[in-house]
Amino acid sequence: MRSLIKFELKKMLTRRVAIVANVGMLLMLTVVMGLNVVQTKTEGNIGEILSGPTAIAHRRDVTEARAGELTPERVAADIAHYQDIAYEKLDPEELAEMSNATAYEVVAETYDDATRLELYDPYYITILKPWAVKGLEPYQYASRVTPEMALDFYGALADSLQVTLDEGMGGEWVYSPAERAYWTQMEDGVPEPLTYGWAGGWDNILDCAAFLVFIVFAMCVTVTPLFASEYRDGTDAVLLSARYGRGRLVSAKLLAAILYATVLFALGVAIICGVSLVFYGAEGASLPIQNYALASPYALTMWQAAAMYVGVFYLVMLGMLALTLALSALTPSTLAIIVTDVVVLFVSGLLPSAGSGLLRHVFTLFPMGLQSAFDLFASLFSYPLGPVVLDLIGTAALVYCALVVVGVPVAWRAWCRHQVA
Amino acid sequence: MELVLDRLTKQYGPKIAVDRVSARLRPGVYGLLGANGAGKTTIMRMICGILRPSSGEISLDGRSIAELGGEYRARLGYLPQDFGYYPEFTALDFMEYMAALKGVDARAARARSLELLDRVGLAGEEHRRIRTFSGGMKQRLGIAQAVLNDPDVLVLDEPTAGLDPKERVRFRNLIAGFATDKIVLLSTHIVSDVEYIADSILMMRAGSFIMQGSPAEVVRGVKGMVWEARVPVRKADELASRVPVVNVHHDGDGMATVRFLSSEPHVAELSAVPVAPTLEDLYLHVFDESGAEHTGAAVPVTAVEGQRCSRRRGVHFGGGRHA
Repeated sequence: MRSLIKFELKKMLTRRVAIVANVGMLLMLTVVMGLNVVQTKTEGNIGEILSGPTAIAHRRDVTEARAGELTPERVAADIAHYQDIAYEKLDPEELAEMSNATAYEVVAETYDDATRLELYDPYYITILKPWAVKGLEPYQYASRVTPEMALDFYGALADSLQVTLDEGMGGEWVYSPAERAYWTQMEDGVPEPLTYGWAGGWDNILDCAAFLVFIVFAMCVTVTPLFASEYRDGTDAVLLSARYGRGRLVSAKLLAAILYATVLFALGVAIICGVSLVFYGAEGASLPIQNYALASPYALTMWQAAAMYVGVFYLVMLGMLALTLALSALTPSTLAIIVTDVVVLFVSGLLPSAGSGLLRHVFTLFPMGLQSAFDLFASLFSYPLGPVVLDLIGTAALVYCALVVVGVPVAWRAWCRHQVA
Repeated sequence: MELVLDRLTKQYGPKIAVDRVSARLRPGVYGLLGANGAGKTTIMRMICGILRPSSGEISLDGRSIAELGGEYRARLGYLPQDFGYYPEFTALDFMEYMAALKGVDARAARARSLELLDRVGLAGEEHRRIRTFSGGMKQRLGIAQAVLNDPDVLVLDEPTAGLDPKERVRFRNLIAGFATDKIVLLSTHIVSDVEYIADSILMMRAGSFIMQGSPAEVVRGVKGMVWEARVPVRKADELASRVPVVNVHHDGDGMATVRFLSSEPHVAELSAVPVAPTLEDLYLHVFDESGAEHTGAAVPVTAVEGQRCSRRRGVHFGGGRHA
C-alpha cells in the first residue's frame, strides 16, 4: 500500500500544471502575507504616518498601554475620562447633531493630534461599542453613556445582542425562539470580565485565513486528474484489470490525495500563521475572541478561534477534495471538473443575496462566503434544523463533512464500476 | 485450467459488438484475427473484466470471473490496444507500480521488473522517463508489465503494433517461452505474428467467431484457391480488379508474378499454378482490402465449438443475415 501511495503522489505531483498551481499559490500566499505586513499603516503619537513593522510595534504599544481586565468600574472610569477629553472644548450635544464628517473636521480643528488620536484609540472604541450608533464617530455618541450605564457594561453588551436579534440581519432574517435562546445562552457563557490586550498575530490570522481558499484551489487543480486522467490517457484498462485495481488502488489514491492536501494545507497555514505570529507577535493567544469582535457571543480565546477558523477551512478543503474526486471518477473531462470547482470556490461569492436572508445563509456556506471571520464569530448566522440550532461553524462543518461522506463513496463506486468501452 | 466464454454478448444500443460468442480456451496460444470492428477488443475487455457483458458469462475453472474478482485478476495479464502510461515515470517506476498493483511481493518486484525489462530489450533504459521512449519502447514496456505477475491468462491486444521486425521476433520468442500451461490470447493485424506462435486461430467477424482451429487447419479452408501466375504488368492490374490479389512482384522485364485467390478455374488462361496457402491468404479471402467482410464465394470453415447455436443471429461467414 505504501508504494502505491508513493506512486500516486508521484503521478499527482509531477504534472506541470500541479507544480505551477502548488508552487504558484504558496508563493502568492507568501507575497500577500508579506505585503500585508509591509502595507500596515498607522498614525504615530504626533500624527506621523508609520508603516510596516514600525506601525505594528506602535499599535502593540498603544494597545498594551491599555491592557487589562475590563471590570465595570474600569470601563465606567475610562468612559468618563474619554468624555472629559472629548468634551473639554466641544459641546457634546452640538457634536451629536453634526454629521460624522463635520464632527470629524471639528474635532481635528479643535484638538491637537495627540488628543485626536486618543479619541480614536481602539480601546475607547471597544468599551463604547455597546452604545455605538452606526454612522457616527465615537465622540458623537459617547455623551449618551451615563456613569450608571457604563457600570452596566456587560448588561449593555447583552442588550445589544438582543437588539441585533430583533433587527434580524437588517430585516432579512427572523430569528426563531430557538435561535434566540441559542444565541442568548451562548452569550451568557462568555466569562466576565473580559480582558483587553494585544493579540495582533491571532487577529491577523483570523483576517487572513480566508486566503487558504487559494490553497484549496491549487489542491483541486492537482487532484482533478486523479481518476479522470486514467480514463483520458487510457491507463484505466491496465489498472482496472490488475489484482488491486478496484480495492487498494482506490484506497491508495484517496490516501495520497488526503496526504498531499493536508501537507499543502499545512504549508499554507504555516505561511499565514508564521508571518502573522512573527511580525505581529504571538502574545494574546489566551485573550478572549471579544478582542477581535466585542459582539461575539462565543466563549473562545483568540488562539481557539483562530484554530477553529483554520479547522473550518480544512473541512472546506476536505469537502472540495471529495467533490473533486467524485467528479474526477465520473468524468474524464478535467476542464469540466476545474470549472465546477471554480464556480463552487469563487463564483458563489459573487452571487447577489441582498434582500433574502435564506440566500445569504446558503451562500455564506460556500468557501468564499466563509471568508469573513467576523461573520463566523459575530454575525449570528444560525441554521434552525427543526428543534436543533446550528451556528455557521457547525453548519459549515456539517455541509463539508457531508460532502466527504457522499463524495468519497461516489468516487470509489464510480471508479470500480467504470467500463472501458 | 479452462476459460469458458458462454454466450457472451455485448450490445451498445441497437449495435451488437459481440454476438453470443461461446468458446472453451485451454492452455495454449490463441490468435484472434478479424477486421477492425469485428469485436476483438470488446471480447478481450470482457475477458479482462473491464467491460461488463450485456449477457453471457465468462468463467475460469467453473467459477464466474465476476465472482472471482481480485482472485481472477491476480491470474490475469493484460496489454490493452491503446496502452496508456505515465510520462513522468521511469520504466522501473512503472514496472514497480504495476507490480504493487498486481500484488507482486515488494522485495521480488524490482528483480522481476529488471529481468523483464531486459527480456523486452529495455535493459539500460530502466531509469529513463517514459515520455522519452519511442512508440516501440512503450509497447515493449506494456508487454513487460503484462507478464509481470506470471499470469495464467494473458490477453494481448495488438501487442506487435509499433514494433519493428526484430522486436516482433523478440516478442514472439518471449510469448513462446512464456506460454507453457497458460492461456494466451492475442489479437493482431499482422497475420504472420500469430501464424508463427499461435496454437489456435480464432477468426472473428461481426461480433462472432467464424472459425477456429490450428493455423494448418484453418488455412486448409483456402486450399486449392491460392494461385501464382506470371503475367504482363498491365494484366496484373486487370487481374486485381477481378480477384483478390495477395501479392504482386514486378520482375523487371515487363512481367509480374501475381499471387491471387480464386475458386474459379478461369486461371488456366493465365497459366497459373496452385500454391500452398498461408494464413494471410485466408485472412484476405475472408476480409477484403478495406477490412470489410468478403462476400464472395465461401470456403469451407471449421466452426468454433459451441458457436453453432449462435449462428441464428448477426452477420456470419458466407454472407447473409440469418433470421
